[in-house]
Amino acid sequence: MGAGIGYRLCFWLGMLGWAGLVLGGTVSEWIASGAPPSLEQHPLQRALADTLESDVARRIAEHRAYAAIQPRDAKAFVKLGTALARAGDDAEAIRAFETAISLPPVPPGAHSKLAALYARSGRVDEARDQARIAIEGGAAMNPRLLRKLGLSGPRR
Amino acid sequence: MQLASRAPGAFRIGRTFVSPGFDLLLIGGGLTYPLALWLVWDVSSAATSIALAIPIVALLVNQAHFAASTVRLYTKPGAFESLPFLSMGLPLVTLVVVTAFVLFAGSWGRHLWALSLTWSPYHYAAQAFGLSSMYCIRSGCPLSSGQRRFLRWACLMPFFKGFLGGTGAGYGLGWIVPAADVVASPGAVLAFEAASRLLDVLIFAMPIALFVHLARRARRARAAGPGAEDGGRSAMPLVSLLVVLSNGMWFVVFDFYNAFVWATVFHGIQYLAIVGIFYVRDRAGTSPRPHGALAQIAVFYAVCVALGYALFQCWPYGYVLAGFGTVESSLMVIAAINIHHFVVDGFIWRIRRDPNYRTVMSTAG
Repeated sequence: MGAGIGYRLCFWLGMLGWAGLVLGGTVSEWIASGAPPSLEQHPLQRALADTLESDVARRIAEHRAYAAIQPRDAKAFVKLGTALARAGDDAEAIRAFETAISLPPVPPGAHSKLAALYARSGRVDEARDQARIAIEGGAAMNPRLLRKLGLSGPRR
Repeated sequence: MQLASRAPGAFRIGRTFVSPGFDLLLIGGGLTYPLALWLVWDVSSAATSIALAIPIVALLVNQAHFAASTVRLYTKPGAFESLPFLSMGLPLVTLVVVTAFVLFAGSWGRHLWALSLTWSPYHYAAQAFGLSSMYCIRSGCPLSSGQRRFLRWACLMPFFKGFLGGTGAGYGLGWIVPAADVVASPGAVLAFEAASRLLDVLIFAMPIALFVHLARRARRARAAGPGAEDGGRSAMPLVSLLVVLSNGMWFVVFDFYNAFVWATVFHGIQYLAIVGIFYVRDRAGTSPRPHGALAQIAVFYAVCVALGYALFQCWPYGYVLAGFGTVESSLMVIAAINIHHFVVDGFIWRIRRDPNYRTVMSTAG
């Protein structure tokens, strides 16, 4: 009988806690966005849709969380690196892209983006190495960057 | 509603719950085959094929199916008495676990997420085994313990394929061993490729071998006459074979991501079909009025869709309101709902020494 009461107490605590989070969350999101929670499935897309373009710090924090929970997913680091590069944080962006290219299979474009970031940071030799790998992989490269690095594009 | 296909011979559909078409296409996963062929021919990714429909498909199938196990738990007669921890203790435990993981998502979150994605193909395998053996029991094809074990291993092959396939994304084998380590060793790459190809073969060969073996047994039994040992045994029903092959199909035909998406969609359809049947049978005994059954299924499904929306789309915002990020809130909630569903399913579908057995053996559609 005692176990029965304990279970019932657990049940109602769980239900009340869950219902509180669901109701509170739904109402707050509805007030914030003017609509009930959307059907968007991708957590990162949902986060970005909920965040103002100008709120760069929060957008990067969401990207960081996504990469932290999926630390062996190269695409997560490519997305993080792209967001950081867009925000002008080249050092952190390079770190994110370096992580991305260490995680096979490397997404197409990661090497070329890293090459561009290296070049922008004055690390020309590393930029050239990455550009060569990108060209070998058939990735699209900025012709101006290639000229700057003294390389030619992929042969067609 | 039709009872069964009683065609003599080795190839029988099996004793169906609703009709041969319904059971073969929805529960057996027959819908899988034309779609898989079309997708292979079209060379489309899951994302591009259903693109804008993804949120709707996810709500109506995927999320509804996750919610269905909870709805089934709380509507199963006697569940509170027979499963007190599952029905009354687990909600609070889940809430505490989710909150803890949201709180420490940066350090622990990856493990909950990887666990849920690694467990998923195992869960599909377990469902394929459960449904396949259920149709065997229902169709008068009792399996020996050795045959059950063989069927279980046959059902597990797609899980092993998924376990290897998730390596690049950090799930399955990739959760334990970084893909970079595998790629760095030529021997490991060779072993990986060989194991992957072997699993492709076993996924189809094992269930077909069991099917042929049981068909031969049935033929021998028929030839020996009704009085002989094994005289009452039937061949393995076609729907049992189809369930296993359908689950394997996605993991052979597609890469990990696409297999994951399509297997999830078809697993959800299969689940909603069978849970609806059990729900109606639990309520109405073995001879429901057809209109009553449809109305009950409609209400059951509506509750599942609404609960799915509350679980997946609304619950994470509770944590956002508390100051956490949307990504960690969403991913931890999704992972926890997955794991909760896997655990609950491990108990509510038991057949032996459970009222489910009555439903499995019931004759009316």
